[in-house]
Amino acid sequence: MNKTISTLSDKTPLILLIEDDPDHAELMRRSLSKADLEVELLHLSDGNKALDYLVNASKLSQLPSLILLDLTLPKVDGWQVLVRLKKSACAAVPLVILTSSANPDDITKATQLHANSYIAKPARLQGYIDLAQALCDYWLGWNKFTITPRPPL
Amino acid sequence: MNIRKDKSEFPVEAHVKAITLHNAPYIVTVVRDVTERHHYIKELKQQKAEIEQFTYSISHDLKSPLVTIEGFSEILAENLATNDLENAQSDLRRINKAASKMHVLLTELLEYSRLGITPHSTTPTAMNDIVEDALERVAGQVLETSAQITVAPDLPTVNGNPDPLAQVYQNLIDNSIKFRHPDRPIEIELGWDPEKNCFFVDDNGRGIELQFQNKVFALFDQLDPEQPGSGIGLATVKRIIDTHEGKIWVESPSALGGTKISFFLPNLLNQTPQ
Repeated sequence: MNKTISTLSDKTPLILLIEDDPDHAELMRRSLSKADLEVELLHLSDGNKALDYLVNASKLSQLPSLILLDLTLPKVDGWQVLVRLKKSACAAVPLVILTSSANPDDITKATQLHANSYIAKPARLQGYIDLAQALCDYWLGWNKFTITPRPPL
Repeated sequence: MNIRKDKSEFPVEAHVKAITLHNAPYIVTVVRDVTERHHYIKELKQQKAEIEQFTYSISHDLKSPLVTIEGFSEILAENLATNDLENAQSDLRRINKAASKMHVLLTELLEYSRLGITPHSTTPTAMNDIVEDALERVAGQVLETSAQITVAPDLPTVNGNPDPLAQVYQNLIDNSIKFRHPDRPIEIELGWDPEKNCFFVDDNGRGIELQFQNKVFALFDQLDPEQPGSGIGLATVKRIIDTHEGKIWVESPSALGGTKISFFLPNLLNQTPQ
């Protein structure tokens, strides 16, 4: 039976950030706050902890609404986390690779392993704020922008 | 492709030209075996791929502290504008730490990249002299941490490059001290295993879980990012051993209960059993 993924309609959405650099996690936390985005950010610093957390969250049907995954993690790296998550009950949770590398081979590999998106970490704070807004707009369905359909020709 | 007498295939390059000699038309064909050229092309392509991968690794790891520096500089400016000095100091600490990390990365990366271009001049040297040189380099840390280091008295003589080989021991001892067990005084043994024909550095530190042992020699891979360092130390060690056409691995189990790194070097000049 499919588990129901907790959605944002009934509570504050949870974003799980799997990131080994505490400064980068702090940048994301501040960016979400600066953009006035009402989300809860859970930061886990290694792949093992993240996998353990998600197994439990899955059992309790309390999965996050979005997973942000760095690739260079100690011990269990981001690739292994990605493979295992996409074969688990968490497969339906949108997973965005957020890493410092823009290696084309990594981007291809991430797509092949069913990552939902691949984003290189921005260099500046404003870039982080814009990214936080864009992630929530797209993956949490908060898009403020509406596209007016073209009239039929 | 052409076929040898033993029916194996080999690549060829053929040039065909029409000429006239004494008013008679001729076709001249030159067929050249290009096996060696193909081999070099393949090797060059492999090296190119390795360089590309290396460049991406470098750019990734250098970009990481830059993200911190740029991001927190802007936050610092905001905190200073609002006179929030407490947070400004915390921002400065983050910036400082990231800049130091970058400094270590660049320094060690330079050392690492030099290894590949340094001419590999070998000379017969007693490994005990190399170890002595390494111990001098780490004397400060050893004194500071009261680490007990035991050195086998009759290590074999090697035909190698003494300075990089001393760096192998230096980095391995440095790691043993860095990843010490919090509850035990540091013990390190530098020895020779006559059965396996290899040198080893064993310690009573925190050890490396079996599943992660194949990761430790990769460039920039750090099992514990909270620890100081760049993830270049063991990659450098491996590269030095590779340039000596040797092998290095994590040995299990460690006799002292921590991490045991063994390495094999060819062309030993004497091999005294211990």
